[in-house]
Amino acid sequence: MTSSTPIDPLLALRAGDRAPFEDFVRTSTRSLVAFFHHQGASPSRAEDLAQEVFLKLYRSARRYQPRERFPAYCYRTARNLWIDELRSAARRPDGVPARPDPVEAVGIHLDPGRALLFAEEERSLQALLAELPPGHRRVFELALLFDLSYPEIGTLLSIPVGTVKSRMFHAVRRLRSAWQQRLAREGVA
Amino acid sequence: MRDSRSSSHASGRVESLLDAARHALRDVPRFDREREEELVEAILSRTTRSTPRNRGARTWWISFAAALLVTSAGALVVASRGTRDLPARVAAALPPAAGPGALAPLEHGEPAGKARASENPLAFAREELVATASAAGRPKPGVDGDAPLELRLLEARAKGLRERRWDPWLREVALTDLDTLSLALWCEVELDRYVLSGSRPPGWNRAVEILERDLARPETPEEGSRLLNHALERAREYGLTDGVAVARLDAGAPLWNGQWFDDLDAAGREAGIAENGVWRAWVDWRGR
Repeated sequence: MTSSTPIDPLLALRAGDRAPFEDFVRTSTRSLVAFFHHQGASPSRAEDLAQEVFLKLYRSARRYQPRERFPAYCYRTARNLWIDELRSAARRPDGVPARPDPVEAVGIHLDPGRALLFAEEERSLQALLAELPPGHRRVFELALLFDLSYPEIGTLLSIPVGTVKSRMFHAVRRLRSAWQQRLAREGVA
Repeated sequence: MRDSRSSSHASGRVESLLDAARHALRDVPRFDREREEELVEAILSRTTRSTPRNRGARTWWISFAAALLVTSAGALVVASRGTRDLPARVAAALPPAAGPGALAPLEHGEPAGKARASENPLAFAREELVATASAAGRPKPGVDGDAPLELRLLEARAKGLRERRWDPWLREVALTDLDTLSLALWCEVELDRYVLSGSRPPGWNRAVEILERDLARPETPEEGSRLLNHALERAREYGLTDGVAVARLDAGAPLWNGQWFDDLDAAGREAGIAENGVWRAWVDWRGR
């Protein structure tokens, strides 16, 4: 979810201009797939869900009324879809295992086979991100994947902006510290 | 100067770290660049690359023809009946009243009683709801958790009127996520609940704020605006808005007026769900 689409894609779509929506699809598909994968969806299911988000957004264009910035609206749509997914899965014997709290259920999943092929740098970062406390990781993810501002994250998670800043600060500090240690070990710094 | 360079260097490091973290977050096994492009094309082919204008036009004509047929048939049925049939129904047991100014719950088997709108709008509204509730449609197969929210809200309303039971998910709905039509329907469900159970809707002041704000927006669809306005008028009538005394604005006017069903029909067509059985059942019911 990048901020390279300053025009609201749905408002543009409603006005007959498809280009911003297409740009939005191109720049956001990877982030949405990653978002669903981090929630626990398999890669192929994450692709399906990302596609479903875009279809929902597209179909809602005619009735869309912006009450918040578009990335926040998109995140809400994705989150609601994931909650629906968990509810549906709970009714299916072979579905995705339900999590105790769908909103807080965030995890970085490493495919063992894939991990062997990872660049060392990325693997280290993946591991570091996975070690962040869930609340910190959630804030970090919303800021980096959806490009949301601190007030927007606070509203979406129902926490004060100060808490968002604090969690982000601690997440960055923890990552930076671990990162610098690694660089020092390798004699890069 | 040195501090500035040092600070800038540190800041640059953080930015690099965040970029790297963003990259790591966006990495998904087997989702490489080629697969990403395929998915983007698949999405575009189902959205902007399709021909919604032609498809929409066809849907509109089909909807219009179907609505014309149903309306004609409905008119014939009504004409053959001659008069309205509004049997007084016995109310089922209700949960205790909770809201200030709400009515006490009806005892099991107790009729709603006769009330005058100008004297007690809540009692009058309850009488109307109880008198017509059993006709508010039967459960419809196919309205499950995956159905469009508007349909689920309509079915939840029918269930609330029929059985005096409201699904828990209604209280989980995030008001800021609702579009005009869904917001209007959610309000109607909660207003029914208030009249019948005395339970004041949670976060109702926030709902009224959004109602008023959406009504003031020029981009709010006309059909949706009328439904929003209906919900807001109802809320005012029941004293559920700040600074408005409990007073029926249009004393004696029935709750189930034809205009609301016409607006529902128009909003359903606008939303592309007018052909669904649940929607049609409501539109055709018309409170009779």
